[in-house]
Amino acid sequence: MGVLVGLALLSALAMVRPDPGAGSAAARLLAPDGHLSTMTAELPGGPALLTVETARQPGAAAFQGGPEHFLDVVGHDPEALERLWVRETQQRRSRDGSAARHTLSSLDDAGLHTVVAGDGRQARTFEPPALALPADVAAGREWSSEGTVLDADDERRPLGDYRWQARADTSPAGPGCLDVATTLQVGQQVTRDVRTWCPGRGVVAQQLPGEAWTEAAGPPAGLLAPPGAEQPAGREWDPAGWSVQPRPLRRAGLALPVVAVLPPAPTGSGMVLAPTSGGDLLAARRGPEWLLEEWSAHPGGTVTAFGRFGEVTVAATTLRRLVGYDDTGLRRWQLELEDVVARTPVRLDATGVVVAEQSGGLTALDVTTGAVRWRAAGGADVRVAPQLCGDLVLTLDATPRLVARDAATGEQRWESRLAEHADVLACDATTVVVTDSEFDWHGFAVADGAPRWTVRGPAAVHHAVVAQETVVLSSSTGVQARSTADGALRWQHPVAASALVAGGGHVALVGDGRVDVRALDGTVVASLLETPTSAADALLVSPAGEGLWLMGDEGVPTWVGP
Amino acid sequence: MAGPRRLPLPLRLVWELVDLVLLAQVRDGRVRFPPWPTGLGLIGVVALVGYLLAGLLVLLAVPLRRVDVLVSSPDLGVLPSSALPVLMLLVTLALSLVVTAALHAQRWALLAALLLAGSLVAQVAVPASVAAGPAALLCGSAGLAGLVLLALVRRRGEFAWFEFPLAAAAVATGTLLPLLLQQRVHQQMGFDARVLSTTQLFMAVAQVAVPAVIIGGAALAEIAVATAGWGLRVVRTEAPRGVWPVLGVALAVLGLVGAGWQLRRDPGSVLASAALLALGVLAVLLVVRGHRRTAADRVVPERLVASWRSLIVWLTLACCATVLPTYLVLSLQAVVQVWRLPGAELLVALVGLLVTGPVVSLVRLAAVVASVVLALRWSRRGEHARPLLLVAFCTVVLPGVVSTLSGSRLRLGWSTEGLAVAAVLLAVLALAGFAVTRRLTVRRSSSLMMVLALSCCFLVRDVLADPVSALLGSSAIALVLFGLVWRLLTDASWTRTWTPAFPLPARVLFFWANALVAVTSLAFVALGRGLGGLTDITPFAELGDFLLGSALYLAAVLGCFWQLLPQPRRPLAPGAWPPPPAVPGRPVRPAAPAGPGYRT
Repeated sequence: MGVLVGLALLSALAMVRPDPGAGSAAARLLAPDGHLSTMTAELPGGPALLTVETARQPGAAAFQGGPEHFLDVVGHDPEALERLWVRETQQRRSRDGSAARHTLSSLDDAGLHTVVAGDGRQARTFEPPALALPADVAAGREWSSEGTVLDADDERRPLGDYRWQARADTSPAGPGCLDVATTLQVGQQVTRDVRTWCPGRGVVAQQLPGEAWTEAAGPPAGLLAPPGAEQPAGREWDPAGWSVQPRPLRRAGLALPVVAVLPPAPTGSGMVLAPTSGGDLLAARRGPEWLLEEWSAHPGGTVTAFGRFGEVTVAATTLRRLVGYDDTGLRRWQLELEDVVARTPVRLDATGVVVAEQSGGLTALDVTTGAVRWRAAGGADVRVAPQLCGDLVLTLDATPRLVARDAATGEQRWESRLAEHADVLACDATTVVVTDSEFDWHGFAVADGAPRWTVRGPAAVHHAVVAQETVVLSSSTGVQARSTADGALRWQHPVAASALVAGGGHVALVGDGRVDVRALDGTVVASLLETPTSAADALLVSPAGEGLWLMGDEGVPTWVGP
Repeated sequence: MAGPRRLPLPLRLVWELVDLVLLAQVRDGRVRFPPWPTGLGLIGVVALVGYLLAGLLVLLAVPLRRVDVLVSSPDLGVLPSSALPVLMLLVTLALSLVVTAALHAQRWALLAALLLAGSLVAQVAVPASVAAGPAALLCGSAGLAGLVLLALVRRRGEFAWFEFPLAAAAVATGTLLPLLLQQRVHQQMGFDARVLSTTQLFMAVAQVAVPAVIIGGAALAEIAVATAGWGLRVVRTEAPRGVWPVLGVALAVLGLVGAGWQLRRDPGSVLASAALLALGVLAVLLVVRGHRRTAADRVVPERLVASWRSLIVWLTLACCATVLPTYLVLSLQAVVQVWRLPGAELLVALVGLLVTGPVVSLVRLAAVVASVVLALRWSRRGEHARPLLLVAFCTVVLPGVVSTLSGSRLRLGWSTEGLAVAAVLLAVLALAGFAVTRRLTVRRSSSLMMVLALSCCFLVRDVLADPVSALLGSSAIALVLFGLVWRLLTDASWTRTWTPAFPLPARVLFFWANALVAVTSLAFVALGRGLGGLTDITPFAELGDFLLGSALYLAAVLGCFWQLLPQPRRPLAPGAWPPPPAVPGRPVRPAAPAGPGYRT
């Protein structure tokens, strides 16, 4: 038994992440990772909204997203990578406009220390960090900090000495809540505020000079217009005029390699990325040479799947949550789910999206509001992302079954039990193509699931796309295009593709360092070389209107298009 | 059995059947804790705790995923954070058991165990050294050195309890300490590599679990065959005479209904399966019939199941002989890639080659050839159960081998359902044929009823795993869990014997290590919902059901058809009938002059 205990201890040490200061009173007041507090206020210009999104990130993860001035800390705090960071992003919306404010604090055994705080105009570093909440914070407790405020955007230029004085008192906001009154003096400038902290919810209300923000369930009526979710009209590709244009992400004046495993979600002006580390979403616009960060957000946990639908970015996370952001990075809604969503959400109609939980449950929702349209229980784990085929949503599960549901109601229309496990599903409005582990390729009628054809493939298929009654399939032995009507071979190419993208009347065969664009009859229209490469065959590819975004091992987003 | 005797007849029949098919197997094959060397019992208890823990993780995987904090690594799925240390503990525990077991086993077993442990340590310590530096390598090397030292020092001695903690300490030094160091650095970098590390570990462990999972996959077919064999026997001996013909008609109707459904659904597979059945009959005639037939040649399903236990391990190992080399090359590949040594591409190609269809098929072809040779040899000795099983195994394996080696040009698209349906149709046709030609003897009708019973049970065998499936939300995971638990409950009889080359402590520890590795691998799949991934072992249970389960069923069916052949002309001497197979855990029934259902 001693062996068991010893091994258990070592296993726990190797696999459990300690949470510094987790047991302190200050830590209990903090909001959990990914939490959103919503507050409203009646300002002279009318009602206003304030949201506070909290990210709790260890080490370097806190600096991958967030504003560039946070990077100031890394260069000057030798223990920056050892700390547990708490990032707060305040988004303010009123009739007068919008503003964002970012605060970086560290949580340790002494409490919560504010290190950097800034908005679009100025970022201030507190040296040493100001004690925002002592570890033993309680009603009646007073504390203070002193030091220098530095300009984080201007090579740490001193802005003056600071004195931070605070006192906590019991708050009527709820059990365990504290009103923390703070007086901050920087040089001759004095500001006072009162923030109400509640256990596990962070700041729920605050009194700023001339502003009284109170907890709210949502934004004031009429303040925010619903974001647009419509899909831009499809445009014809003109591959003859395409070129390869690397667009590294610029951060602090340098090209920052993006390590990601989820394909970027193109926007009208650039893309949204989910870097591997940190769990942030990063929106960037395409400049002439760089990708420039527009906003970042932290939905909580790790992003497992995401997609962009008009102006709305929908992200699923390991918190078993679906979150919707508008094109300014403001969290518009969140939806709790039973299991993780690991497959890309799929558009149903102008504002509808369907997501598949890993255990098979389907949820259709309106992306502009997060309102659930329907839910359907799943019988088994999903193998691939669901597909919209005509007016049906098709799923492929581990049973293995192909199940069709009405896209409007979620009602099951038909199901077809497959002989072998299948991992690839592609369809148009009339035919769904499934390839199985025995290398058989099957065509079924979308309307009723009736088998249409089966052909024996040469190897396991990795990717398939359907366009204009043609299914293009890529296996390790090459690419084949077949008729969706009868499975007849239309054309083939002897080299395997890492990814296939259909769009604009063409199909792009994306390989390692090369993109071949073909017409659907197989004619090669353009071949582009020196595109991104991936040693592990893990190219990330996203179709985007008139071209493609690619990312390879170098982490440089590359536009292949006009 | 006094209690059951007082039960109403239907309940008594069910009780008898459950007792014979399930309880007796468990009584005979369960783990026992007889007087063992000091400490072995406690190690067995530790292993049992580990097994229960892993089983609990499988059963609670769905709720755990719903309530626990989930962690993920890029592209590798999501795991509940609280399960990570438990999984790590179970893997190290299993590996420690393997090494301790091998210390006193044969040299090849010790070598294999050290290679296994060494590879696992390399796969953990070398990637960890990228982040954690030489300290991780030092820990890995120290762990390996400790294992080798332990093997050298303790090889010639008797089993001693302290070998297990020493092996566990060496394994933990080689695996857990590098992970601990790596974890600290990753945390600073803001990178959560826990799922990545665990997945890498389980990619290796899953390979080791494959044989146990394949064997477990055949459990449902085994129970189905035993149920049919014992079921007919119980009805014959316990039920009133009128039940027998009614049962025959019911089986024929059930079989035909199933056949009709299957024919409508997939007529092609029924035709292909009929061809497979014909191939099996031909093979039996060639291999078994070619030798002198004795009167004592009845091959009843229960006897086949009993003989099957002695063959299944070797057939499984033959089917997955490429697993260990693949595992070793994978480990080497991980090291070469991390250190950017030359030869990485060669190793990738080698792994690709080892797991490709042609190489696996060639290995299986060799197993088929060896099986034919053995079947001929045993058949010459007048034995029929094992030759029949081997012939059935070859019949089931050969079409896949031919299909792969011919590049799918010669493909027989048979299925297990199609095979059962073809057997039903053939049995019904034979029944009708014998009846019309007035040659339907009791022996023949009983044999054909047995084919129908076997086929009906085989067709609905998945029902047994359905309750588990409903609980776990996955039929594949349920199939594996059912098979593993069945093997744990019924396959431990070999741990009670002893040979100098394979002493009792080694047997006991290997038994537990094998069971623990398999169920831990399943827990990883269930927790991560990693179906279809690199660590997914569930397809191997399906493979076990397809290759081994079908082979057992086919052997039983062929054994029944064997009974249709003309009897030897030599008059039977009194007592020439062999006694019915001993019911495990029960007193042997007195042998009737003519076995029930087989009287001519």
